[in-house]
Amino acid sequence: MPQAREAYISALKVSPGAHSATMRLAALAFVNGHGDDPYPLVDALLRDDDARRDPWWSYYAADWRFWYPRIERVRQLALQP
Amino acid sequence: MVKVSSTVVACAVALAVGGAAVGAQSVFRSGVDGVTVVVSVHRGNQPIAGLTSSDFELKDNGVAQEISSISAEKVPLDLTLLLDLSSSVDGPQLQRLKTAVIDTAALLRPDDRIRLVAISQVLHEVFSLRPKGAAMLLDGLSAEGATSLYDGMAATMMRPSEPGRRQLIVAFTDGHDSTSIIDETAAKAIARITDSVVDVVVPVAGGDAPAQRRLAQPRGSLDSLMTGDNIVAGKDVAPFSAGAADAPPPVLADLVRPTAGQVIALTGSDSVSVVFKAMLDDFRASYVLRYVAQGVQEEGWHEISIAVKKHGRYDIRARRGYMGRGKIGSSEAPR
Repeated sequence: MPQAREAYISALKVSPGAHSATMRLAALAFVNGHGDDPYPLVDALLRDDDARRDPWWSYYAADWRFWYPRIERVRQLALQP
Repeated sequence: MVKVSSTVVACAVALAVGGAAVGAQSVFRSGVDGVTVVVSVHRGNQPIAGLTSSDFELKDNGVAQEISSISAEKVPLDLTLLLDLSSSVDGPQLQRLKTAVIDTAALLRPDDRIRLVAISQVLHEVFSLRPKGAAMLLDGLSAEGATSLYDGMAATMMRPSEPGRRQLIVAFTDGHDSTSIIDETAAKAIARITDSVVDVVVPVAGGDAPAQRRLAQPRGSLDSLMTGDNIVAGKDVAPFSAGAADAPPPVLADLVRPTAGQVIALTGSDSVSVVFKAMLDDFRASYVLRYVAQGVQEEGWHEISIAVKKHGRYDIRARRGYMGRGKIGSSEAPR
């Protein structure tokens, strides 16, 4: 477990706020009952969870990672007069 | 038909022999103020009101404990609505969910609070905990992307209940996870020690039994234990939406059972608002027991068992236990 914790913390240094490492670090802390306080981690994620911030999604979701920026771009274009 | 495990049969037998005792269900986390346990007591489909601390027998790791306080309706609640807003939920169904959020918020009492969390691939707190009447920004809600269901459930279950409050999570989902980082095993581990009660509403295809009637079945009673492991579902229901399954995925029942929660199947004719209201009413009727653990080690996993001393057959739902402070050994970890 200490190695896992170190790995997740290292990942968050590379990709601050990344969904995958944040969730795993919080779950580790919650289930083991000591160490990091899980809820501030989760709370921050719930307020600002951006798939583009997490390299895991790039691998896991492949081109799906383009969905959010592109659909947002479409919405902006649709709102233009 | 769900196969009935020997454990379930043992519980069912215990229920049938008067003075109901259930060796598992409603708890919270220990702290300087002691342990808080949310307990639901039903006979048939009726919640049992008017019980006092002397009516309960509570054991912590097998040691009888003195209940320092008991309360029910007066304890304010924090309600988290967790909505699966992946691309499978769109159009009329999304509008029904928005309506259900507004209707449910209107049911809150002055000290209650509600928040809304949306799940797609990512998690999004649409609005944080707020009292009845506060603004709820629902216009921007849209349904798109994949479903990180386990991540959403885990994230909300990890929120600790505030002192003097109790916490209910009601999730609406088709039950299918596609992109979570938290796997099923990790989600179940979190469910075993959360201090929230987690209910799940799942749209299903087919059937003519309205959700109200199915909700009226005695959950956790002999009948429901023998037939559905706390899943309350009709056999034949009208189509709710294309692609909906005939019954909620069994994993959901496994997930919510340790939290003393339940899974409700929703058919096309059911009102989401009505089902949410039924869950809220059910939770509000539960008892909140508090005690300071005596005669047991503080550290590690604490198994809690609760019984009602009064003669009769009761359906008691509560959590299995809580995690004490300090490091636990692998053999102590809740399974």
